[in-house]
Order: sequence, then C-alpha cells, then structure tokens
Amino acid sequence: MKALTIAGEEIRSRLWLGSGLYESPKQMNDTLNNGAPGFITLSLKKQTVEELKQVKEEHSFWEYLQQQAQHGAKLLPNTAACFTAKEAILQSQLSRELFQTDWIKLEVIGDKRNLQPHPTETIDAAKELIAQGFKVLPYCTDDLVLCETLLALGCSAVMPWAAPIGTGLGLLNPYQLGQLRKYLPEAVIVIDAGIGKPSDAMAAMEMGFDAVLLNTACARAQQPELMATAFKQAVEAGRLSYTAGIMARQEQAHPSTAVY
Amino acid sequence: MQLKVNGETKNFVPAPVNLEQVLDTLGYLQEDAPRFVVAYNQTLVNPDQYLKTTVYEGDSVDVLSVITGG
Repeated sequence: MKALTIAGEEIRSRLWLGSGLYESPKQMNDTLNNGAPGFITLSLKKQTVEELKQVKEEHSFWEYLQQQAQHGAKLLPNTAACFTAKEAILQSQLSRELFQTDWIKLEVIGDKRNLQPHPTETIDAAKELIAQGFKVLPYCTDDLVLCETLLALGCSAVMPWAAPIGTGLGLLNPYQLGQLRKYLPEAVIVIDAGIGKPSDAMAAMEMGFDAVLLNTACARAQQPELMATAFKQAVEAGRLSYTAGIMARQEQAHPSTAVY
Repeated sequence: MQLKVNGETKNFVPAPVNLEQVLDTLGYLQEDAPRFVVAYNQTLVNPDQYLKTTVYEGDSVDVLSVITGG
C-alpha cells in the first residue's frame, strides 16, 4: 500500500488519533500503541506551577506521548479553543516553541454550539502561518470553495469534518465529501471530527480520502484499546479497498456461477 | 504591581522589573520545573528574552504547557 506523504514527510499510518478524554495516561498509551497512528494530536493550556509539575511525573501522559513520538508517531499540536486568527497564530507559535515542530492542526472555532470552524478566520490564520513556515493542516467544513482556497494558500492538506466534533454521527454528507474528492483529486484530504465507529472510517477511506483523524470514538468506547485496533484495521481495509477499485454497482442480477 | 497571570489578576510586592523576576516569584523557574512557554501581552517570549522584557502595571503573562487533546 502506497505510503502517505505530506509536505515531503512520510506518515506511517492513515489513522490519526487524538490524545484527549482518556481515563488515565496508561489507557491513552495502550490505545495509541494498538492504533499506531501517523499523527497524535495534543494541545497547550495555561498552567500553574502545581499543574506543570504533574506533567513531569513518571508515567504522565506527556512521558507517554514523548515515547510515542520516539517510536514513529508525529505529534500534531492543535489550536483548540481559539476563536480568532490572532489567537490561533499565537497558539501556533507557542506550540512550535514547546514541541519543536512546524506541524500545526489549525482549529479556529466559529460557533460554540456546534464547534464549527470559522471559515474566514481560518483562512486569515493559515495565510500568516504558512508565511511563517508552518505546515498547516486546517480543520474545516466540507465546503469545496473553502477547501480550494486553503489549498491554494499552501496548506499541506485540508481536514473537513464528517460531523461536529465529538458527536460520532459519522459521514453526515457523503455527497458533499464525494464532491471534494472528485474536484480535488490531487489534494491530501483528511476526514477530521465526527467519526463514530470503524465503519465510518472505512467508508471515508473507501471514498479515497487520505487519512482519518478521530479521538472521542476511541476514548469513549467501552474498551478504547480494543477500539483502536478496530479502527486501525478498518482504515487499512478501507484504503486497500479504494486501491483495489470497488466494482460498479448494477441494478440487474448477474450469476456468479456460469451454469445458466 | 498588579499583573494578569493566566487570566487572573495577581499582586506583586515588591514590584518586579522584568519577566524573569515574575516567573521566578511564581515558581516557574525552579530547577525541576518542566518545559513551558510564555506569552507576554499576547506575544511569544523566548527564555533568552525573560531578563530583557520589562514589565508594567496591568500587563499580562501567560504560562502554557502541554495537555492532551483531539
């Protein structure tokens, strides 16, 4: 299976996972071990000295995330909780300084109720971050014109939602997602947010998308570690299926046994 | 001197002169402190600039570090 390459870097897997919402650092780590994701998302937060000390404890989530990075996953800081381009640009600069990476998951929220990304603030932030040398992976809606605009600016990929963050509703608008794949055949498109179950991820991969990014679907499963394995296999199967070429649907029955 | 630290107003006596003194007073510069980044008045400040950054009444200092996320 052809490896995924973005901005000249080979990404080891087409399954990307978030690090949030797990019951414990160990559960997060076990889940990430089973999923073996290409990217792992994480974030920044204002912290007191006392909170900071917990970050450094043995078997903390940060210790595990560093181990994941040493074993081939790439860390992808996000700009969660940013509502303006200005906020997202500062958060990206802070993330680059802390994590020593140019990769950034650009997330500029436009509406607190459905966590929909803000299109124009995302564009403004992407423009500036690209000028500053970031490899920008913007979380966006499935709007074709918006995706085209972000790619034309120089974003390394676009990451349209399947459904609002954390809902697990799956691919709510497969027609529109299909239009993105059809009209942007060369672009790296990652389905981000709203994936609820492995079959959603597999459906996205069978449509020809390049990767899927999810968090809640694993973290809120009854057995996150096991669900990560299921997602890994679903993403691999979906990609293989797309690569193999799915048969054309037919209305008329045709026998598979040549006895008629 | 009052400064806004991580969004909360804090009183500093004696008044600090620079960002290094602010961070030291708050305990962030202890030897065993983990890595963090600082935004001063919504601008990234690198560690080599802490001493050179003069602080003024009402300024904001944000200290951030890693958290999990999606």
